[in-house]
Amino acid sequence: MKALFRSVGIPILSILFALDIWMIFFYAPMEKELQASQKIFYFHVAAAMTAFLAFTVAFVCGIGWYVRKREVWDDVQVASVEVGLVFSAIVLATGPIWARTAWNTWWTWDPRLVTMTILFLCYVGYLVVRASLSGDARKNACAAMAILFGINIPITWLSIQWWRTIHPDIGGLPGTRLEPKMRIAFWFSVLLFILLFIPLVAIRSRMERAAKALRALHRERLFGGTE
Amino acid sequence: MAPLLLAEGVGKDFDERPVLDGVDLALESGRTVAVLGPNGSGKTTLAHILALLLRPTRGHVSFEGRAVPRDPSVVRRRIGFVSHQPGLYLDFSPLENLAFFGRLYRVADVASRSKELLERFGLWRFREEPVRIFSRGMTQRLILARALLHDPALLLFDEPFTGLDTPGERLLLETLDLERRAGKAIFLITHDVRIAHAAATEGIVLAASRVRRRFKTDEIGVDTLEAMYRDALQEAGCATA
Amino acid sequence: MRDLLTLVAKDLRLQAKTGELLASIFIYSLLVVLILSLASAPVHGNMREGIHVIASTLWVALAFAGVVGATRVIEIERRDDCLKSLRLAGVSPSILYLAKTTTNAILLAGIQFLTVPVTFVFDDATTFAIVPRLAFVLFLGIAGFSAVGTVMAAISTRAGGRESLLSILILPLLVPVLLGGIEATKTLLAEGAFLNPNSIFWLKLLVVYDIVFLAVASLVFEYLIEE
Repeated sequence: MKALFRSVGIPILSILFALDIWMIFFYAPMEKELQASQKIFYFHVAAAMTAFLAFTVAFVCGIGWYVRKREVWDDVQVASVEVGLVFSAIVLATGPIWARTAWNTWWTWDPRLVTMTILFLCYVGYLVVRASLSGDARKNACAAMAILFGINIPITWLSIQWWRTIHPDIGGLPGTRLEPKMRIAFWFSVLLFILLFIPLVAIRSRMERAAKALRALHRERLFGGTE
Repeated sequence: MAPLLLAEGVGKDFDERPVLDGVDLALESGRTVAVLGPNGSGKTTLAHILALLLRPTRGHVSFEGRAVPRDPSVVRRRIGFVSHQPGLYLDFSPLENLAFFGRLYRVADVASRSKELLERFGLWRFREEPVRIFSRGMTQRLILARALLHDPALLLFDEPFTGLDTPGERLLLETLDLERRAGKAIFLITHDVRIAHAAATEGIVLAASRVRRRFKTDEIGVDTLEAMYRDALQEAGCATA
Repeated sequence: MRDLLTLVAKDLRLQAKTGELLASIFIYSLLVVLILSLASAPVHGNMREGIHVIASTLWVALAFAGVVGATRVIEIERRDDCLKSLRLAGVSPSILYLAKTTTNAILLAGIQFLTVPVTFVFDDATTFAIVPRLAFVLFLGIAGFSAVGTVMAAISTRAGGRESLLSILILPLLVPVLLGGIEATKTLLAEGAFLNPNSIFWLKLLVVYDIVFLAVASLVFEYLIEE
């Protein structure tokens, strides 16, 4: 699988990303007010959607672990959380860059900014706990966190939207009414990010499985075999 | 008649490594089974599986001929367990501790039962003092009293002699005998061959996660048992104790 | 149900015996209130701002007390392996979770009972007629903090961390409660009742949040206390 990804996956993804960048900069028309700064939005929102997808996958894996205690649920779970964190980091990094030009401020209490920051912090906590536990205790605790944080995704998202509808100081993100060409470029980006997400999670889960096997071998050597 | 507790082919993995493998064991009323084994042989893990606190990775455990249910809370109440940690509230006095656990175990007359046990273990004088000020041996006596509080059908004792002085040791040996005669099934973990021989009717030697030997104490003497234990450890590749 | 009462009675008795916990959390909350009031002293005199300060002070104090309280309430059972004794005595994990949450809530309510008057004095509140309604909002907040705090403390104490680890786990998770609580408290302080639909809406959010987390946490708690 690894060889296949190297020989086929990476070239294809590279070509698709080149195509994506072409679509963003040349195919999609320039936004009238925001000009070039709006281009960041294709990556920013796509990364955000992928991050949400990642945390949802982790949530499902948490339930999966409790229902059927198979290692794969734990492997995919940590993989999704880590990849989700990377995508959230992209969101949190690109957000302020765009906000600086669009709203003339690095940081604002925009609802979605807050949502993403909170999610990011939650799953950082997940990794901290994960690092300090081992064995079944770790798998049980991580599954619990994936579930509880997962429940919080929609609640946080909605509550912050409600919060702002009550204080309509700042409007929503511009660009909700997209021109057809913009829309095509946008959804292409989203799909491409998800396409990138899948192999990343697969690779990271395999790493986790390998790490577990390695640890088991190490213990075996340390404590002596049982035939 | 089916034994009170039956373990068949029981094994447990921690961190993908087996710490216990293929253990068959039957605990019957009026019998005391000793488990001899060095540190890290899986004795404590076995005790936790028999106390229904840990689910085995492999194998099968049944209580009174029936498989252990998914929620084993009710079955657990029939068991008295002594482990390495106190499992008591150190800010409470012996009486308060026993009263609390007595309520959880639904003991009918906690007050008189507590008095009986505290007197038997020589703690009545300290009944109102917080456990925090107790010595190791006194705490151990209280742990034993708590394990017997609800008159369980099965007693699982993991190194119960730890911290006891000579009178305390004699007291515990007497108690074990008394409880066995009263029809309890007893499971006794120890690394002391002399105690295993004195207290048990039969036993197993556990080393490197597996049962290496089985013995009946009325068939062999202490010295034979000692030699058997040493052989088993050598065979399993453990450093001799 | 009987077990629940036995467990809560035991916890309260244990607290009454040592007393150290309640006293230390109370002084801690008091300091939080003092520092926040001090930090916002210049804006006093302005009615709107004053309300803002009181509402946020109350909730921030609750958040800090909640983190410390939840850790201690779980630590009682972790120490000396009392948890194992409880499991042996046939206490079901859900009952244990609900008992710990109840103890936690009673402790927090006790703290708030002492903290709220102090906040009123420090921040010059004048409307005492709202106290019953305020108690109701705070109760919903306390329920949320206890529900989430107890389950997360089971994870953080297991991972060997204490208050600092717990706070990074629960504070992001409790953003909806903090938001809802502060908003509802603000309208309450400004209008003296829950008249407008906004505050009703926030109360509903708090109720739903409390119920969802209590239910899910009492299900996953079993896996967090297993060995």
